[in-house]
Amino acid sequence: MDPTKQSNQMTEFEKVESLLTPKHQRNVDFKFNERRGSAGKIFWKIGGIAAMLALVVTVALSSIFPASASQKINAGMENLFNAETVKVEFTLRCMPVSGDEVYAPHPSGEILDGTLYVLNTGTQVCNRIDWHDKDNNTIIFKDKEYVHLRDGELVERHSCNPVNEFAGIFNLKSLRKQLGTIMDDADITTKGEYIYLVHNKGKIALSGKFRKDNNMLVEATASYVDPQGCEVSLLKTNSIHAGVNLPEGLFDK
Amino acid sequence: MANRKINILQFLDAEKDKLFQYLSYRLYDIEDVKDVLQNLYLKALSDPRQFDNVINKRAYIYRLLRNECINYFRKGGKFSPLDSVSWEALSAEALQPEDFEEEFVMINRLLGFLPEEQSEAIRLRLHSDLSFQDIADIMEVPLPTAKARYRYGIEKLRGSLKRLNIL
Repeated sequence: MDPTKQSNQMTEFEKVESLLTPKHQRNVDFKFNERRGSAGKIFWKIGGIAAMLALVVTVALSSIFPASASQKINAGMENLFNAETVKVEFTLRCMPVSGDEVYAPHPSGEILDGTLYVLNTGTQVCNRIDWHDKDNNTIIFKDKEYVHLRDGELVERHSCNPVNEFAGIFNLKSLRKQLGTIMDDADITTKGEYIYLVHNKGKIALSGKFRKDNNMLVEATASYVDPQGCEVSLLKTNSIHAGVNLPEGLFDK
Repeated sequence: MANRKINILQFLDAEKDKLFQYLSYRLYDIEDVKDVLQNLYLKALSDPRQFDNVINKRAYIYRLLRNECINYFRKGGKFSPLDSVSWEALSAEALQPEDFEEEFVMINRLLGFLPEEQSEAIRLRLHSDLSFQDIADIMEVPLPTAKARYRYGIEKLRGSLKRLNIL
């Protein structure tokens, strides 16, 4: 082949390659932990899990007011939001994510235990979750800082927006707002010695079972019902304590 | 088991940009792109042992991704590659896109004139910046075949655009 013709063909070849090479690429705006709600996949917004935790903590606090079931639950809210410390041990069906929370709830995930600590000083709220996994992952939100520890060693530290989704949901003010929404839409019934609260949020069902005499929570769950009607447990609290003594330095690193 | 899953996540995070661009120029709608990527993640997580056993993990992930794209279009995905526009309808202006949308249309219009295996080789090379060896592993063909599919695809477009005097 004539070298000139060959050279022209090579240039044209490269021109076509250039045409097909993207020059107006989109910014990559995606995280594998991002909750998607389409194609039948239900990603439980962690805000909902936090609201559930808030609910069970609320009604676990003692209330001495001889009131109706819903009034008892509402009365406990003030105690919750005034509580200085809270410790909740829970079991979550979840999967690892690349976001700050390390694990996020998902119906296809595996079972993992965790402990949530909340410290409310009145001017700020500190949150810590110890994931009981092999690496002892821990995440702490304190003021405007996020810290991730693994086996007690620092993995990452960065500033976070005070209204960061994860930090915000454990902020008690936002919990209060979500809890109010849940209460409005919940079915509250009384049977025998127990008060039952059931709230359905799409394919997610929250339930709480409380003793009437002391408002103590007996059982609380969050479940996902798949399209085939099978129920998958997402969250279960194992113990809830308010007003506990939290170790000094728990939120420091 | 948890470590296996974290490994998968770390691998996917490292490949995220290339996967995102590949899908963007496949599916157009950014929400669909994110849905398919999330499905890919779940699919990979569903069998962490297989992921561990695979030698070429990149090829494995892209094969899963291609299957997800097929499923997406099978379920009536909102956009499918154009294949009914004639060469004569192309113009020089159409080959000078000014934004993502125009570029998406142009690229898919051009690739729509090619057999699937040639357009796929081009996508993997130019949109995901993969090596020919990776492309061969993904498409499960010998290396020379992968190179040939790419070369013949580009060459076919070169010849057609040249005949229209718009190259």
